[in-house]
Amino acid sequence: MNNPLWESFELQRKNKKEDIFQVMKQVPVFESLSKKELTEVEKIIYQREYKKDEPIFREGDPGLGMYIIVEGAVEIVGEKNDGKKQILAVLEKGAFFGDLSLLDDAPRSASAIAVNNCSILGFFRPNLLELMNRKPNLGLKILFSLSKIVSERLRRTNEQLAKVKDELEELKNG
Amino acid sequence: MDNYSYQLYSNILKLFWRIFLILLTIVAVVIVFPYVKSILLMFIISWLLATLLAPLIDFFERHGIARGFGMLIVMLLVLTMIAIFFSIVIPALIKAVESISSKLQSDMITDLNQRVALFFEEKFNNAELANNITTKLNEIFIKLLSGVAAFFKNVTSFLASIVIVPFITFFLIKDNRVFKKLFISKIPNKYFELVLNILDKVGSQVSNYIQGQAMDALLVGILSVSGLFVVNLVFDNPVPYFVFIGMLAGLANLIPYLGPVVGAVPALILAIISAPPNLFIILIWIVVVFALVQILDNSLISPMVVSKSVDMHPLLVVVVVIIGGNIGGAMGMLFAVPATSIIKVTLSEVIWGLTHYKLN
Repeated sequence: MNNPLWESFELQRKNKKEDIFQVMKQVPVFESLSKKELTEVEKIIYQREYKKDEPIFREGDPGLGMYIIVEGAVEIVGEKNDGKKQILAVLEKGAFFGDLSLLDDAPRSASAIAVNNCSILGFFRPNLLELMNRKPNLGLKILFSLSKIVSERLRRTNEQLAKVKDELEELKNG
Repeated sequence: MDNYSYQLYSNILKLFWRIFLILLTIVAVVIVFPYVKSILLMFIISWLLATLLAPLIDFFERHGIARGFGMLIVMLLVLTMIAIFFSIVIPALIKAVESISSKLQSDMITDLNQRVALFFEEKFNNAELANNITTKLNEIFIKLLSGVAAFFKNVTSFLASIVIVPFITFFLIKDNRVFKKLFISKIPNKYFELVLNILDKVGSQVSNYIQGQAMDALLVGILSVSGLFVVNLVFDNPVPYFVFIGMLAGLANLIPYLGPVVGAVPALILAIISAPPNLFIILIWIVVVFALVQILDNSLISPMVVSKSVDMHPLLVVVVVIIGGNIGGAMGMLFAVPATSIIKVTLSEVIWGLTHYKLN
């Protein structure tokens, strides 16, 4: 028996799920996953709604996992030595942050605050560990993507460091 | 009213409401508890089962067996175990306990009564005092033994009525993530990461602890049964019901420090009742068996399977076992230490979370 109300509800739910999949696919951590694997990951992620100016996490909190912006914008705010706030970046739909917290629980290096009302997906380390225990192949895929992100950042940092070193040498030599 | 007085008044009012709500909750729990006691017990048993079975389902899933199919296999295993428990283990346990009780009543107490009566008549020449003391002793023993038998009978009737436990266990395993997500979705954003972190840390420590304790109890039980089997083999069966006694020792091992004694005493009493010719040597053998099991447990099994994070001071163990006994009898004594360990882990993680997260 077809119930139009139920069908509309089902359609909305499906569309919402498709939206989440679309956003997840844009994130490098999940880009190599098949739809079936994304469905598996979707079961262990948390969707949260934040109001304007509401903190998602604060600098110094233990790192627990990464966030992906589905709707809205988030600013990453650092605290300078003199205690003043400094906006380090403003991230929008599809962007992700806190990904390194999937690897360890080092304190957050900056705060994340909602710029406007936003919808965010959270993917956390305990859930990744549990997924690795149940589905090692899927867990490995995610870990491999994470290590690619980390190595890419390390390469860029090394390049920047080399550049800064060269500049210092040039300054020294007059 | 100035600003300060207003603030003070509002704080006092808040505190009053808080205390009132806490008291109301305590009263509500006390009133409701007797009505929900049995369903609560079912949930606790189901949760324990789910905690013990989850790694098995994960194991199947890890090896390519779909989670649903893995659950089916595990649930069939549980149903078979329950069937075996009802048809073989429980009747055998009742028979063993009743037989031990009647033996104790007929042989040991009569003997003890006679000795006590004789002692008092000889020393104080007071037959009435001797009579009073033996009557009191009889009462205590009979109460104690009927308590043990009734405990097993109640467990049977209770277990017989809970075909519902596998049902709850199934859904606790199947929808574990759904329940968790539902709970987390109700947590305000401010506490979201804190609660998620605490929940995961407590969850993993508690399930490791429960799985470790179960494994420890099983191994100590098997070792005790094997040891007593050897004693029976060498000395012509001085310890009847050694399987029951050995498994009891395994179960009693859940209580640190006191458990090993509780495990060894029934075996010693049964050997004394059997009164074999070389009783003294047999008693030494039994003590050696339990001492060896304890050495193996403390040096090899426990360090490998039981988490160190739940270590407790011996004094605390004694106190919680007594409190557990007052609340829930034998069952209460058995589960007092594990329950306290769970509370200890939860509290330490909550304190850790509250000191590490910036909540203001």
